[in-house]
Order: sequence, then C-alpha cells, then structure tokens
Amino acid sequence: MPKQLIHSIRSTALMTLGLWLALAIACGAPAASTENAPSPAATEAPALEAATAVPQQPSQGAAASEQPATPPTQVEQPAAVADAETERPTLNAGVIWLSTPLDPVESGWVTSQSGMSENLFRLSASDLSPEPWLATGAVQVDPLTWEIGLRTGVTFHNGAVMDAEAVKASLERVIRLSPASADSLNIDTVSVKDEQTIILTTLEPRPTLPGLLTAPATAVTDAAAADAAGEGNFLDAGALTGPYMPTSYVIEERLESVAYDDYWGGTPPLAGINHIAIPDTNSRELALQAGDIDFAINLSPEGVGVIDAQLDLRSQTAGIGTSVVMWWVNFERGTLADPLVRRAVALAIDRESIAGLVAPAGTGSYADTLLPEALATCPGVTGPSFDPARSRELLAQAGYADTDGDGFVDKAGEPLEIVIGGYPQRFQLPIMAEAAQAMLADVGIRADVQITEWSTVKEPTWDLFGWYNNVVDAGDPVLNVSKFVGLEADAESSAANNFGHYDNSGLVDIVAPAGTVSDLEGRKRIACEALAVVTEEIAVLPVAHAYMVYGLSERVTGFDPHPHRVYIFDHRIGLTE
Amino acid sequence: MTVEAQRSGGRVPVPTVAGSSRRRRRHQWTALVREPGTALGLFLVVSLLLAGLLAPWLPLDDPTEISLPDRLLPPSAEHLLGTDHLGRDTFSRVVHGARLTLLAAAVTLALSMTIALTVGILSGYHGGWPDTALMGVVDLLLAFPSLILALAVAGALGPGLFNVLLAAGAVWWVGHARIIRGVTLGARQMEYVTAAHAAGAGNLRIILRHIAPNILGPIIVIASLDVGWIILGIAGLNFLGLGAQPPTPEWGAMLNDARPHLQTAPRLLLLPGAAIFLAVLGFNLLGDGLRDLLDPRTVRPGG
Amino acid sequence: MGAYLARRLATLPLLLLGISAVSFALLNLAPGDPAEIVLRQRNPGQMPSAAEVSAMRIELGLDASLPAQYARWVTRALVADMGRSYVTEQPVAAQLARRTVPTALLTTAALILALLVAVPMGILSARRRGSPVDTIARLTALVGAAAPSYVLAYGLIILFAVKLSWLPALGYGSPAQVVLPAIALSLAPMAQLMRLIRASMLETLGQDYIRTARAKGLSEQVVSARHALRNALLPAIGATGVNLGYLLSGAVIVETIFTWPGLGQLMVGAALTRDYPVVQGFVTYIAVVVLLVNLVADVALRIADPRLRFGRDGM
Repeated sequence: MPKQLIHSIRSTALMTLGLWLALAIACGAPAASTENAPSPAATEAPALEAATAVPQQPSQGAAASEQPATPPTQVEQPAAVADAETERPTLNAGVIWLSTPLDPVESGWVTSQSGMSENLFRLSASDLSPEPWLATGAVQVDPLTWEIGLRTGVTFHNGAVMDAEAVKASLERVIRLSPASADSLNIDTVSVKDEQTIILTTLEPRPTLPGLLTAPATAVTDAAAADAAGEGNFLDAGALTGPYMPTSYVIEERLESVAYDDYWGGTPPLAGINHIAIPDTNSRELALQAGDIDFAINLSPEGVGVIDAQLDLRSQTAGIGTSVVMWWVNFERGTLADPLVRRAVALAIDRESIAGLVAPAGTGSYADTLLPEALATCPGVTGPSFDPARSRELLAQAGYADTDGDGFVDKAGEPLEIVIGGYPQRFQLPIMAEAAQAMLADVGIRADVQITEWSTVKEPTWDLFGWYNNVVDAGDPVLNVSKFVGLEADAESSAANNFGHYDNSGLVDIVAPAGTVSDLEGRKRIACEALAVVTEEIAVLPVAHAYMVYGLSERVTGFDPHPHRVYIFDHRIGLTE
Repeated sequence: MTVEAQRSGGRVPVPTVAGSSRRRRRHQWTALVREPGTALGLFLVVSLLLAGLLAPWLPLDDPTEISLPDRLLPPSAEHLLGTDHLGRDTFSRVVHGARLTLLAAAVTLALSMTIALTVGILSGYHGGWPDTALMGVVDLLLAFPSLILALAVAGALGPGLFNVLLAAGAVWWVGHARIIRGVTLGARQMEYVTAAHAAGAGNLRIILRHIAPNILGPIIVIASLDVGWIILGIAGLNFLGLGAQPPTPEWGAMLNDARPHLQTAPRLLLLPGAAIFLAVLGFNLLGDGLRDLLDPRTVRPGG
Repeated sequence: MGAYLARRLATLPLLLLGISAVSFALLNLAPGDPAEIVLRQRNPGQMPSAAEVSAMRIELGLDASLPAQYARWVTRALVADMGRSYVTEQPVAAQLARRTVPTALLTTAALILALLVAVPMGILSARRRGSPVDTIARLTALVGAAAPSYVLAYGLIILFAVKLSWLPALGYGSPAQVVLPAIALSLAPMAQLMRLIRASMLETLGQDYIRTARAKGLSEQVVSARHALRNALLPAIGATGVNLGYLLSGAVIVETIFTWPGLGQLMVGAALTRDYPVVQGFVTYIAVVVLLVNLVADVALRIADPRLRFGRDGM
C-alpha cells in the first residue's frame, strides 16, 4: 500500500484540485469571448437557402404524374441511397415530449412528427393551407359530400396496400375511437367509390374538411391490423404508412424507428431515427453540442446564438410563426372582469418588448393579435398598445387610487392585485410573467407570479395565465380564433378551450356563416371580424408567435424545416459520415 | 439533507480541526477565532449575516427592478456583476439572496428544532412508552432520505417558498430529535437532577433549570452544522422549480433561471452557485469549530 | 448477534407498515381531488362533469372510508401494485422497476468513485497529519460538502462534453455516459466518507493496541494496514445507509440535469406535475430500500466489529 497508494492519492488530489481550476477557467473563458461577440443575426440565411434550393423532382415508385403535391425530393439522394445500401447511418434526435401513446387516434403528434404516420392531407409549408398527402385531391360534390382521391402505391408498414377500403376502415376507426375527431369531422358515412376513391358525407356542411383531415389524430392507419394487435400493441401492427417504422417505444424516454424501405416517396437515406425525450431546452442544446444527438427540436433564443457560433452545428427555421405565446385572461374572477381594469392591465404591459425577449428575431415575432400572419392579416384590428399613462387614467376611472402611499393602487381599502400564472416547461412563460409583473408595478398594480403546472389553468386562482399553443390548426383562420373562446375544439388538446371563461355568445353569430363558406378569403373575413371582437374585449392577451427553430449537426442533409411542429422528419432527411 | 446527523444517530463526526482548543476552555472564544478554518467560517457567516440584515439599506439597485434594454450586461462600474436576463442587477440579487437564504434557513431551523426539542426532551425525560413510540417514529422517518421526503411534501403542497420551508421543517427534525433525546437522557441521570426531583421540583422547572443548559451546547453545534445542509437542500428544491416564485432573488431559483445562459453568461450561474458554496462552507467551518469548542462528547447520545 | 438480528427482523414489518402509512398520508395531504386530476389528464381542456368525477371516484376507490382506502393500498402494495400514474397512466410499480437499473448503476458508480478517492485519502491524511496531503484532503472534504451538485454538474458538462468533447453530455446507455453524472454525484458522499475515515483513523491510531503494536516493533505500514485500517473502515460500512441517503437525494438533482432515466428524474417530474401515485410509490420504494440496506449494513457492522454489541442507536 505504500508508494503506489501515496502516488494514487496525490494524483487524485491533484485531479480534484485541477477539476475545480478547470471549471473556473471553463466557465470564465466563454464569458469573455461571447460577451464581446456581436449578436448572431445569421440564423435566417441557411433556412432561406434550404427553402429555395430544393428542386422539384418526382420521387421514385410513386405515381408522381397524377400527383401535383408530391413532396419534393433532393437530386443527390437516390444515388446516395444506392451506394450506401449496407451502411446507412442512424440519426439521433432530441425531442421535447414523448408522452402520448403511439396509436394516432390517441393524439397522433408523436407519430406525425417522427415521420411514422401520415394523413390524407397536410398543411403546406409555404402558406399552411391544406394540400393532398396520401390523398390526391378532394372535390366537394355538394355541401355535404366530398370525393377524395387516393394516392397509389402506398403500403402500410406491414405490407398491406392502402386502398379505398383501408382508408374507409381507418376513418371509421378514428370516428369510433376518438370522440373529439368524430366531433370535428362530423362524418356521416364513408363509402368506397372505386379502389382509389372514397366518398365522405357529413351531417352538417364542413367546408374545411381537408384541413380537418390534417389533424394528426386522423392519420391513416391499417385499422384491421391495429384492432387485431389490440390495445397497447399498436407498435406490432405495422399499421402506419410513413418513411419510418417504430421498433420500440418507452413512453417519456425513447422512441426508436427503422426506415421503411418500401415507402411510397422513396427509400429513406437513414437506417433509422432514435427519438430521445429531453424535455429541458437547455439540456437538449448541450446534448447537441456534445454530439450526443444530431438534431434538436426547439432551440431557445440563447441556444440559437451558441449553436450558430459553432462550425459543425447550425440552426434552421422556416421563419413562420405557428404557435402563439399568450396569456389567458380570466373573466370569472372579479378583477379582470371589469373592462376598464382589463384594458388598464393590457396597456401597462409592453408586450412588444416582452416578445423581443422571449421570441427575438429569428425565433418568433411580436403577436399584436392572436392570428399569425400566415393565416390572416386583419387590417384595422390592432391590440392594446403599451401606454402606461393611459393605463393609469383607466385605473383612476375604475376608481382605483393609491390612498395609502405604498405605490400600489387600491379601491375602498382593497388593493388591486392580480395573479400571473404559467408553467415552467415553456421557457417563455416564466420570463413573460416576471417582466409583466415589473411593468404592472410601474402603474401601481401589484402582481403575484405563480409558476406551477399547466393544469392550474383550470383552477380559479389566476388572472393572467401564460400559455403556448398551436395556432394554425387545419390552416383555417376561423377555427384558430374560435378555438380560443370555446367555440371549436383545438386539434392538440382535442377539446374546446376557454380557460378564461370568456362569454363567447357575442361571437356565435359572427362565426356562424363559416359553416358554409369554403373560400379562404371569405373565411379570413369572418376570422377577422371575430378577431376584432376578441381583441377589442381582450379575451386573450397574445405576446408572440413562435417559430419552430431546429438545431442540427452540419452532417444532417435534406432537412427542410416546415413551420408546423407536427412535420419534422420525412424521407429526405439524411446524415453524412 | 441532514442524513449525516440523522443516520449516525448523533454520532456527530469526530472533529477534523485540531482539537487543541478543547482542553483550554478559558481561551474558548479567542481560540475559536485563532483556528484559521473557524475564523474563515466566522468571517463568512458574519458577512452573510451582515449582507442579509443590511441588504435593504445598502446602496444597491432594486433586485426586482427589471430593465429590458439593460439585459445580460457584462460587469461594469454601474453593475458590479453585470445584469441578468431581465436587466436586473446581479450583485444586488445575490446580496438580497443572502437575506432570503438566511430567513429560509432560520425558519426551517426554528421549525425543525421546535419539533426536535419537543420530541427529544419528551422522549428522553419521560422515557417509558412515549419514548418507545416517539423513537419508533424517528426510526421510521430515518428511512426516508430527507431531501426526497421534502421534495415529496413540497410536490404535494404545490410550488412556493413557504411550502418548501414547511416541507423542509417537517422532515429535517428527525435526526436531531434522537440526539436531543440522548443528551436529555444523560442529563436526567445526573445526580443533581435526581436530587432536584427528590426535592419535589416540578418537571418543567427541572427541564428549564437543569436539562436545558445541558442541551444548549449540543443544540448550538447541531444547528450550526445543519444550517449548511438546510441551505443546500432548500436551494436544491428551488433549483428544481418547487420553491421561490419570481421575482424573489433566491439563489437556487437564480441558478435555475440562469441555465439558458450557461454558455453565454456563465457568471449568472456561477455567482449564486458561489454564494451557496460560501454560505454552506462558512456554516460548516463554524460548526466544526463550535463542536470542538463545546466538546463533542456531550453531543453523543446515551452518555 | 442472533438476538439482535431477531429483534431487528421483528421490528421490520412494523417499520414497513409505518412507511406505508407515511406514504399514504402524503397522498392525502395533497390538495385536489385525485378523481378530477385523472379526468383532466385524460381529457385535457375539458371540465369533467360532476357525474364523471363521482364515477371516477368509485373507479379509483376513493368513495371508501380512509382506513378502508389505506387497507386497500397496503394490500395492493404487498403484491407490488402501486396504482397508475395520473399522467402516463402506466402502472407505477413497473415504472419504478424499470427506472431502478439506471439509478442503481449511477449510485453504484458514484459510491465506488467516492470510496476509491475517500479511502486512500482519508487514511493518508490521518497518517500524515498536517502534511500537504492532509491539507488537500481536508480541503476536498470541505469543498465537497459545500459545493452544490447542480453547479458542479453544469461545470462538468461544459468542460468535458462541450469544450473538450471527451465525454457525452447526457443520456443513458453507454459506459462513457455514466462518468460525468457519477463524478457530480460522488462529491458529497466522498467528502463525508473522507472525514469519517480520517477521523476514525486518527482515533484508532491513538489507541493502546496500536501503540502496543508499534512498540512491538511492527513497521508503520503493517500497523496501518493490519490494525488501524480495518477499524477505520468500519464507520464507512456503518455509513452505508447515510451514503445511500446522500446518493439517492443527490440522484434526484443529478439525474434531472443529465437526463438520466432513473428514479430521481421520475420523481422530480412527478413532483412538478403532481403525479401523486408516482410520488407516493417512489417514496415508499426508496424508504423500503434504505431500510433494508441499513439492516444489512448494521448486521455486517456487528459481524465485523465485535465491540458493537450494545446501544440502540442503530449504527
């Protein structure tokens, strides 16, 4: 034990000491280098390039001629695939959630973003309008009848052919197992016209049916195989059609997949994709930098800067806001039910500055109103703009004054106090709450921040509640206004959200005509009319429209970011050695 | 995280600081300062106390005043340690954090000590079935690592600094109760206590006059050794997002807020981290010194 | 020895029952109606109706009296049925079982690391009191006891994963991935063990039989190795339970940072989403493990150290 021991101890001691020194140095060094560096503004360039440089090329195998909506395929890939048939790489992707079951009827978000499930229609990357995917097109024969053509050459992972019978069974299964989808689709009958055509009838007119069929829960599945496999064994059924087949799934942890070589769009250049759940944004970014993963979903603004500064990594975004970062406004509690106080609160918060904080250029944009530009621009509809002086006037008008000189206003001895809620998983929400708290204090409104869990939104304990929500469902502007005031179901939560208990009776008549209007301009007009009311009454308080921002290794090829977060991995994404 | 004190059942580790002061009781307090480690501990604790007590009156920026144009500024004359992600002065937040940390530690300590004293004295003084029952409960609770139990209680109560303190106080007392029981037991068996008892002195009187002075030393030692763990534990719970709500300048919560800036402004993470480290180090060093001074043998249960 | 073991084993069922009571109380301490929480989790965005809630209360057995609920919970726990997660609706027991392996791996690695550093350093610093080695050991112990693992963990990631690219930053699966979390986790128990070993070594070295051994002319190395070392390591065995507590508490934070799919990560997620059945199951499980490990450690200590025969302090 003598000499060696002393030696080993000496070295461990030195190591420990060195460790601390190294830590100090490591943490000190980047502080000096990055704080001097100009802030990164180059994030848009690669994204633009990628978006424009993709040539239109029909994919192999599929009957491309009759299908205008074939996803573009990159030129170099078929060759690359042929060469590297034996040793295709596997991509490791860090995702936020892996929390829902694989069977799409349960939600479909996991399988859709993973490139496993596909729908009859999907939202286009350019303007988020519905475009054919497994369908070839849809014709509205009469207000209640739709004829939908189907793509040929599509097979399920188990080898079965996707024909009209299969699609009919799939839709019937969706209606049977997903009440929310059944509600939104409103389908009465599904019938087979011929092998590649089905006919749908609805009970009420559904002018946006193709859009509604983009909901991930309505993905086309091999119903017979799924039902035969039984509950909990969906993975074994091979019942999906996407370029990747799930091979193992540990909920909240890991989803592994292998390429489906007979995919109708072409053979994927990857052997498979491993999806690893890393809920914390910061950890995902670190894992990407350390090379543990090749692809990270949703970077923070800070992460974009750090990752773009590295030679072997890049960030990409489509630069189109598809999610809204906002506050629910509680009409049920007394405080904000008073329109004067509500407006005073809205005017006291500099939402544009907060947007610059949580969704700076390249990661999002200021949301003056609820709807993102991609869906509709409504001239003349403007949100409450920051005006603390006016806010103080409104407070005085509502009878509030600082009588006890503590810097906060009160009325009849009761201080004006509001609670700003939120949940921590979306990094924007705590920051937003804190910033608003300070801004409200400036006009004399005391605000309490309570960052808890998302389901607190259902409890009557808050006045403003931070929220992150998809705002491009079905690509329909009307739906994406009315779902926030409880008039229609949200595709993500499959339920009507009206957490603020806003009285939507005034909107019912405005939105009613949307039941029959199918042209987009008409729907935009209706949406704008509804939006004007929602904005005027401050039913919700939007802050920012967030982009989907991806971080990836330079080795990743063929990735063309789609603005919507249900479309991430397709058959074109590859990895070079 | 008082596992050490807890599981060792009061066998507080034998001092690492040289025990020379032990024998020279008359130099007690000067000896305390003469030991470099203890002196450093004392210095750190006193600085922390001063910072905590004086924070509102020091010429510091408002720790909660946000200023978005000034966010993430590097250290400068105006902002000694720069600003955080909302443009708040980091130095001011760290100093005010001392106030909160001390307050949190004090509340937790007071809560846990109250329970520990009640249980420990009752158990040690009374003996019999209450002793058996109470120590049974203690044995039972010792099976739960305290941070984990605190996490569970805080999770059940919902996020909030008050809930975290409640949770910590509710679980932190377990090990101390056993130590106090041992010391009480030892004191009770002393002759003068038996004599006082025979003379017809009331129980409360005996406890206050004879038992209390005997357990004061051990309590001071336990408390000072424990504050460090409490600070670490509470900061840990806050770091996990279960504690202080914004804009409270709490060190653990500050660390959590700083994570996105780990690479761009690591000082935001390092400063509260260093503050926690120094505070814990200070209390640990001071506790070690106090233990040496107050004779560790009295701390051992069962005499 | 036999009597001791018998006494310990006899109290075991009582302690287990107590643990179950504490865990059960924890769930009932929580605000909110579990039936409503389950329904909300199932149908997010929808307010469950009163009828749905009462149906769910019956389904979950919440309509029974508290003692009846407790009895049901205990009988189910005995056959490893800890209920289902509110969030994922998976059986809690299965989740705990699956997550045990990663946590066991991590804590074992951290414990080995702690021992590898603490034992030689503790011994050496005791033998060479006041030497630079002693100073370094004591400083390491002080630093280790006071450094927040969360700061250390991020420092390690930045240095070894991001800057130097020597090791993976996080994740689970390959041996390399265990290195950083194990280092971050080992520091606190390392510091504690080092202090313990040093102190007990000092005490032992000062005792009569060691002096006798020295007087007999045995070399210093032999004295250390044969007599002192053995006795000095006893506290380390005795402290296994303490260290397990440290390690499991530390794992809660370290696993969260390194996205290590162990029990700690599960617990934090459950505490944040108020997934009470998981919290309850986890706490029960950990308490039982700690209890059993302590029992084994205590028995091992009694076998190793004949001096320890009396005293009820459980060490």
